Amino acid sequence: MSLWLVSFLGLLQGATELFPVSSLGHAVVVPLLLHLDFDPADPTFVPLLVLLHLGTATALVVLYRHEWARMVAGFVRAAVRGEVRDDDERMAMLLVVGTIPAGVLGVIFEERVKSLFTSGRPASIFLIVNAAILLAAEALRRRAERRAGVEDRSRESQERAFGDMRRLSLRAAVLVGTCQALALFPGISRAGVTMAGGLAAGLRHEEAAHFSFLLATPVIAAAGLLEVPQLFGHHAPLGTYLVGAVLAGIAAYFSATFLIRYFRVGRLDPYAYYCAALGVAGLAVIR
Amino acid sequence: MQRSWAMVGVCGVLAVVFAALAVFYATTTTSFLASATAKHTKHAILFALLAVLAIIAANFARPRVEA
Repeated sequence: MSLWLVSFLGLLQGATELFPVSSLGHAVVVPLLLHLDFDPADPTFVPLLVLLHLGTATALVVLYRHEWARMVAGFVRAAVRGEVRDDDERMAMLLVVGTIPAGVLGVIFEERVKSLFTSGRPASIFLIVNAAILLAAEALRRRAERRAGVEDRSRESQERAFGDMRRLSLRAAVLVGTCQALALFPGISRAGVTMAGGLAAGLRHEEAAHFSFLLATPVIAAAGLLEVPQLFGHHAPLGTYLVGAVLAGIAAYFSATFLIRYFRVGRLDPYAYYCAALGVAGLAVIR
Repeated sequence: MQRSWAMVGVCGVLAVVFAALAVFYATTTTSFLASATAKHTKHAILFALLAVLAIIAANFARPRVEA
């Protein structure tokens, strides 16, 4: 695999992992649409995926390093004490209970789901389903805005009518975490479904995106770390792949900072239209 | 979480079950809850983590003794 192709795949993975557009769906559909010369079923492709995941997870840890340091310390304190006393401890617990459903379902079902849906047409269909989920989440949010009587106000004041992730209930965190498991289907975006779940739980867009990125970090990191043994034994060009991982990390870092700023007033609709268009293009072109 | 000794017992039983499953997946070739017949290290790690979380949950469920 050439350096250019690895670099392209790194940028694609890093950017699409955090945008609500499905990195897995893009990894399946885009190479087929662009007639890129590689086989995702090739064993030497696995180490690249592992490194791209590690690059993305590293970017998220670096971006939220202060928050993670406080939450890890908070988790240990609360676990030993058997009681939650401050916001950091509460956030740590929310992330733990939110990660359990995706972790369990991911480990048990990942291989089966992957083997069923790695061709282009199912991924295209799931991209359209992802678009429908994003549009449904925004339709529900607009209804909530009407009920709150803020539909005619500016986007900033509309957003102020909704909540902060630190006030999320444990039940809502489990619900959002369970939504994350839907991302096992290529075409369904992890960020998209968790943001949709966050919006349904009454979070502001920016807070839903922030919670989504925090929730994604352990899962993406585990997806990479658990496959580290796959890095060796395939005679893969690890040096070239490392370039892809660094580019994935850089793309993920800038994607996250852009998205947090975008969702201060932005909505999910443009990403829904994009996913629908890519899904339709995939269905039209891929045989 | 509701604090009671009954809840501590439930979490304790879960911890033992998860720990047993972790040992099972780490030592046995199986296709139980997995895609292929093999040793499933990921399953073993998952159940070991769940056992630790169940112990933490038991600590949260422990009734407080008022000073």
